[in-house]
Amino acid sequence: MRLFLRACSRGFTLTEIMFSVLILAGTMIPIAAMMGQGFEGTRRDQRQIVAIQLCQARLNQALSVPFDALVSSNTNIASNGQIILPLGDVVLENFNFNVSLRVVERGVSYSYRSVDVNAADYAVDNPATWNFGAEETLNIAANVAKTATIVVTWNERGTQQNVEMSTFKANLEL
Amino acid sequence: MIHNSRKTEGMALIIVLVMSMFLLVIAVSYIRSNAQNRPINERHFERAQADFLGQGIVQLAAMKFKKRPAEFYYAYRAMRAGLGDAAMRSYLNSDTTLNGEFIDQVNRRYLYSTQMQLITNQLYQTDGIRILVTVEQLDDAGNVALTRVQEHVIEAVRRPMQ
Repeated sequence: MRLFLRACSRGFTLTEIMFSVLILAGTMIPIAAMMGQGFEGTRRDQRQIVAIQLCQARLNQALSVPFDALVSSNTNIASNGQIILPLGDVVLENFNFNVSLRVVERGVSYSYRSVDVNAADYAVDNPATWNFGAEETLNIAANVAKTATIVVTWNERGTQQNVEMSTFKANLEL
Repeated sequence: MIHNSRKTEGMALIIVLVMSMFLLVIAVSYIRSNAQNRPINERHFERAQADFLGQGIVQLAAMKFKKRPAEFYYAYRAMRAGLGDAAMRSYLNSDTTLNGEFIDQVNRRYLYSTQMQLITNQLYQTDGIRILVTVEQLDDAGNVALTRVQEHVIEAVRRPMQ
């Protein structure tokens, strides 16, 4: 009896320890798996942020490219021997990205109402004498504006991911 | 003595269960914070896309002013003189190039609209055309989720009438 009492007061029983280890293992294994997934998710998000920032930077550069030089390309766009828009493969934060530019010509259509300056009572400094005509539209179909899209692609576990950002470029030299 | 030892029986289980709960709470909060990262990335993208769209429309508006400056001045002065804004609405609101919709790669919708104002400085005898482009990004339900405004001023030199 005395032996038994001493055994009881000594600490945890083997059964308790076994159950504890089993419960801990049962809890820790899914938690570790979730942590792993979370870490991979963080890395994936980080790559996406880098891709978005790269896209932004290149589109900013594309906006300063002269209108005629802005054409679809997978390689650097240069002017006077200097690269004005770097395209192609880029390594950022130990990851490979590919940057390309897609350009599509677009037309414009501008609406307005003209004033009849040949009217008898027309006076340039008196708005009350201005006769506005019906609404007209100025259509310019070509060589006037472009839609420029920067596409950043990268591989994520064998699947191609991409980020695309677009803007418009007007031919202000016209 | 027997009573005390009986009391402590099963304590290990309780301690382990409490620890497990604690670990579970940490894991869930970690996963939640990760899950929130994705919408932040998307918002970052949408904001940048809206800004670029606005900058592009500013260029198209500047080109319109370059092509049809007199029509803007007439419409603006008539409106300011209290003669109605029909001509101004034709110049700005009816324009399908300066007002419209853009759909990005993942079918997010952006609505853009343009306003132009004449800024006159009597002291320095200068004029400026302020172009304001508002870009609204819509959520899946069609509500405005994000609004960005791009502003650009074209400086103009006032020329005396001949």
